[in-house]
Amino acid sequence: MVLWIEKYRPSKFDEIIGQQESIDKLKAMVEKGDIQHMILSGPPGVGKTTSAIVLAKAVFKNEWNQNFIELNASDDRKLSVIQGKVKEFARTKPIDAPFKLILFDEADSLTQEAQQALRRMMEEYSGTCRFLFSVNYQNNIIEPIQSRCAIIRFKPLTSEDVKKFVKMIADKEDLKIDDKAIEALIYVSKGDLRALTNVLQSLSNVSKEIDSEMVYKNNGLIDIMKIKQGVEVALTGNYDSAKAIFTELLDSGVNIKELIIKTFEIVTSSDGLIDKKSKSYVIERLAETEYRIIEGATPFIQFQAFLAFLSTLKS
Amino acid sequence: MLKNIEPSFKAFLENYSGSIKNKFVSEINSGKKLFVFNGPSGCGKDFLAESAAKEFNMELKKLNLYTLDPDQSGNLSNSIYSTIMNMASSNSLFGGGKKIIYVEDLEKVLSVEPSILLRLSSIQEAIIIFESNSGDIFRAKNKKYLSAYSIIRFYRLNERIAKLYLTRLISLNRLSISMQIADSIAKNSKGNLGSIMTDLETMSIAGENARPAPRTAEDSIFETIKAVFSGTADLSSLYFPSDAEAKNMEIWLADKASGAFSKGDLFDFLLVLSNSDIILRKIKKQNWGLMRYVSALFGQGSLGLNRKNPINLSYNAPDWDAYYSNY
Repeated sequence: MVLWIEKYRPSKFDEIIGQQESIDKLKAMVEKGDIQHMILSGPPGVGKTTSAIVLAKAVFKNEWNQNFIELNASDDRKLSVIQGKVKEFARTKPIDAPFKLILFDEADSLTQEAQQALRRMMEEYSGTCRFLFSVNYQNNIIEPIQSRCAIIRFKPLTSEDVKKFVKMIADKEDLKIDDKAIEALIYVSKGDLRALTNVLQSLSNVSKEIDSEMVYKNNGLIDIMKIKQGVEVALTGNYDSAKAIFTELLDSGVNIKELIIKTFEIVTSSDGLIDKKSKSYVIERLAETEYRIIEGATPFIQFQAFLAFLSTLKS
Repeated sequence: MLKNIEPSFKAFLENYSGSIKNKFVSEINSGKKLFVFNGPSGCGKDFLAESAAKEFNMELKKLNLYTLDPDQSGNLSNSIYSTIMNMASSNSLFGGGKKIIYVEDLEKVLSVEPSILLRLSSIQEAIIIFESNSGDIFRAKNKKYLSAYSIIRFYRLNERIAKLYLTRLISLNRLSISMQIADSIAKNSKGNLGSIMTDLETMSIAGENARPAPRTAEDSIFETIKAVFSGTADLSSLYFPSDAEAKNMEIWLADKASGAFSKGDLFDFLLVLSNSDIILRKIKKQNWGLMRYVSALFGQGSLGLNRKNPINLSYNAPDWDAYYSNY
């Protein structure tokens, strides 16, 4: 079985959806054969890593595997390990190319110390190597590195882009996806094409015809309909039954943080549920709940407090 | 690759001509060996050290302390000390023995073992320059370690200097770039000369149409602001790459809201903003997840804006001092 995220990963610049401005810049670099150090910044699943790989393929052609290395966040991020790997890779001569490419995926999780060390390495090896950093939050990269890098921004994908992508896959895989299901897919993936592709693949194993209910049910571990029901019950002022519903969910092994995120999605995405004015209170209260849990408060109590707040909203 | 300007005292740029350079040169001439270069990134610290090496015909060695490993007994401070000592005393075949050692960075020494700084003061053979980016060196507890060092302060360069540097780069590399684009590069750099070099290079590769991406929070939100106020924004375009950007967006919204809403709606809208403000205060480096609540609140408030469109909006910047006065 082939993973769809690999099968549908673009291998040419023209196949990348959206991001016209950024792709134009990368194309120009390939044409001139002159590549700078770069920071690729943007939300997850919009094509940062893909663009880097496409870039490598375009520059190095068949030898791209020898001249391109990707250091992932899952690899050891200890300074000595990074140093070892970079040195080993950068020391040897590039094959049939003026330089090699090193991609630091999720570079915003690099420690400040590691970044400080990298900045000298970038100068030392600038003869043989170009450094690419893919980040979600540009501010986590220290200024000396930022100033050495051209910044390529990736925008969040619009619903149109996502629609185009879903239709493309549906055509190729012979799937039947109705409009409501597409809406659901857009909602579930939040513009993250990687997540979207994974959802589609797992759904296609079940059936070739995809409707919106399947999409929601498939969305991770949590039964989103049940949470929605819980929120609705709480909003009618019935704290006890809402508590029962959520306790059942938590007992079935649902992560409390994920529960909060899903609740947040329900609150923000559904229009009729809560009136516009109260919505901002609810969002703020949710943020407060999550903040307290992150800071180490008891998740169970915090979430109960949130439910109790919901049930007071009924006027 | 574009050519960069050759280091020399003449080419060194600073806000007030000569003030930094003359201090440094006269202290070297009077026999000072230990220096601290303090200042933000991209204002010429490396460049001045390189210039000095060239003008005094000395050898320049650079050392990045973050790349050092602890010695066999696991002691990092010994390893730092002995590396610097070895660099200072080893005689190279060329260069006549005189050396400048440029060490990045002082903060690392302070965090590992500040007393290294005192032990180093016995060095006679070489000039040692420590680079420093933060204000840590001015803390009372660090003062005693730094009494033997002369501190040279660098400042963020102003726009005039940024433009001057850019013009020199352009003529050195024989590029032809319109005044307007040059201005935007100089502005975009926020006084960091390294950024100017990088952005100019991007421009020379990708052509004039490829505008360099904004490096700082203030600039990059401008598109978002325009989209929100012109009604073309949907929720997905409210993505903030940093909390600073969200903060700025919030201030813009607060400043312009009165033009778009009347009494009751205005109250609701500002309530939304004040909620998001509270959340923003709680975002620290590690809990970025909270950012989604901020985006959602902005999105919620801004949807109301879209319906009342088009608003006659002045794009004059808000009075930042008024909003930041409590910080």
